[in-house]
Amino acid sequence: MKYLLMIYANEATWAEVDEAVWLDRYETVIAELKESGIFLDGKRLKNVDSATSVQLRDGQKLVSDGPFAETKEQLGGFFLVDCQNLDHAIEVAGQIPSAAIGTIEIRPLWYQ
Amino acid sequence: MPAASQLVDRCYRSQTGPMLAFLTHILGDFSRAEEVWHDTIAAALRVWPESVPENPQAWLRLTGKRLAIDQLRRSKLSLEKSRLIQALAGPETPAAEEYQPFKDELLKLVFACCHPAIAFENRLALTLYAVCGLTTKQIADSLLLPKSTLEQRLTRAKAKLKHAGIGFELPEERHLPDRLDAVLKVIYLLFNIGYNLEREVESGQIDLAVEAVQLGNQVLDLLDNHPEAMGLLALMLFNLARRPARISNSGDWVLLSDQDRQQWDTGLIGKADLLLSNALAQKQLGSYQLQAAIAGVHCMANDAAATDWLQIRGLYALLQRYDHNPVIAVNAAVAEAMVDGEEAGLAALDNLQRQPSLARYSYLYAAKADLLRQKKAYKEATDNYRMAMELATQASEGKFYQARIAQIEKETQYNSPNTKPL
Repeated sequence: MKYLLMIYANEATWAEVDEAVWLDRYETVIAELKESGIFLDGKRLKNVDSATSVQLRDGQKLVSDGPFAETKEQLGGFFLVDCQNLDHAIEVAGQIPSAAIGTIEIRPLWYQ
Repeated sequence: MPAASQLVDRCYRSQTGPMLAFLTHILGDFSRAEEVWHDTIAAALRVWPESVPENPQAWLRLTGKRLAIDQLRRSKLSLEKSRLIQALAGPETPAAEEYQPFKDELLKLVFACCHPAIAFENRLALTLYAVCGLTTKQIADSLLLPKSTLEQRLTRAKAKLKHAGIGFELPEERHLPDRLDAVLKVIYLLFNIGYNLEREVESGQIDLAVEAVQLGNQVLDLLDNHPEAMGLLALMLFNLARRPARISNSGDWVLLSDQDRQQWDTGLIGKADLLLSNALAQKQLGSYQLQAAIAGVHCMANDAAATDWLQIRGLYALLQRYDHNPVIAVNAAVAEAMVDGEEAGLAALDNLQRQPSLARYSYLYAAKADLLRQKKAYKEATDNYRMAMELATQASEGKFYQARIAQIEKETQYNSPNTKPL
């Protein structure tokens, strides 16, 4: 079953960590997941101050600066993974380094 | 013929768990299994008044299976499905129908309903509905919820079950501790809801405490005597044994130390004790076994003064290694006071009060108040009882603290500070 693991963390907290160490951790996890065929894709996102939101209402396009919702933790990246079931996805989410400082939201894909 | 409809009711209650497990296994989908099970029951209500089957369980299984096959036929056929139908539709040997209750399938259903990814309150509702075979009305009544709220919880739980990828399978070895823990937690919470209920359970009403014990028994059987499942069952039985003495005739709380121990159910205590011994013999200690051991020490004392507090304190120290629930720390502090005196207990409780998770826990203040009362610091005792009263979550709990305050006021009124204390 395919899941999108959305990686949320407070950007302020993230700014304080030793980035080299953390990127290293990420690389290790991704390599392991690739090796076992679980990792399909995954990317890091630019900070939320780069976000733009768009809505179309009555044919009118509304463009606004910022994310769709202001939250304490911001979406900072994602993994797309292929897991056996939710237990497995929970296990993989727990291996993502940011789980230790933020939150990983697990969502199954609509079409598998 | 009312006998037939009563029989259907009884079968719904006892067979919902095994049948949903069986049908989910065939259909690979809980919602469809539920639909087929309801159709099966509807068929029983039509047919049984005319002729009651000799073996109602086998009748239900056979009918359920046929309806499930019809369902599969109606849905778009894939090769896999058509193979499944062929296999299922093969000759029906009576022996296969008597084959006992799909042990693995039932266990899969229990694990799925109690999955930690389902919100706790929704998990409780789903377990009562799918495993215990209660109707939505019975569940709503026993949880003191409006039926609409309960139905909403069930809908949410089923949606999660359907879409999140919670497999109907036995958890893998490495996920088992977490998944089992989630199952035991559901059972214990159900027990506590039933146990703490402030009204008498009338006949015909569901007693969640008894329900939880039955579920505990069932899970224990499915899990081949897992020590923590045994520990939990022992814990529930020790508590159940004391239930008759916990509320006075006037509906007030009676403290453990003041309970009439003649009212304790020695049969249940014996059963619990045996279970616990067998669990401990497996030498895989855990939180439930230790909690049961503590309850057991209380139950073994002929009167409050005979309680082996030294052993209880030791058990609490051990328990805190397995279970970081702050509530346990409060009880440990009380045990401390019983062994080393009020000052030691108060110091430990003051420490705990600084933890945010405990700052609004009524029992902490009640425990402090009790110790302060014992050392005759009446004003501080009253303050702490007031705090406990404010934080109390149940009416009878608040009432209990109020009675304590009134008692202190009475004592201090007749004993001015200069006279000899009582």
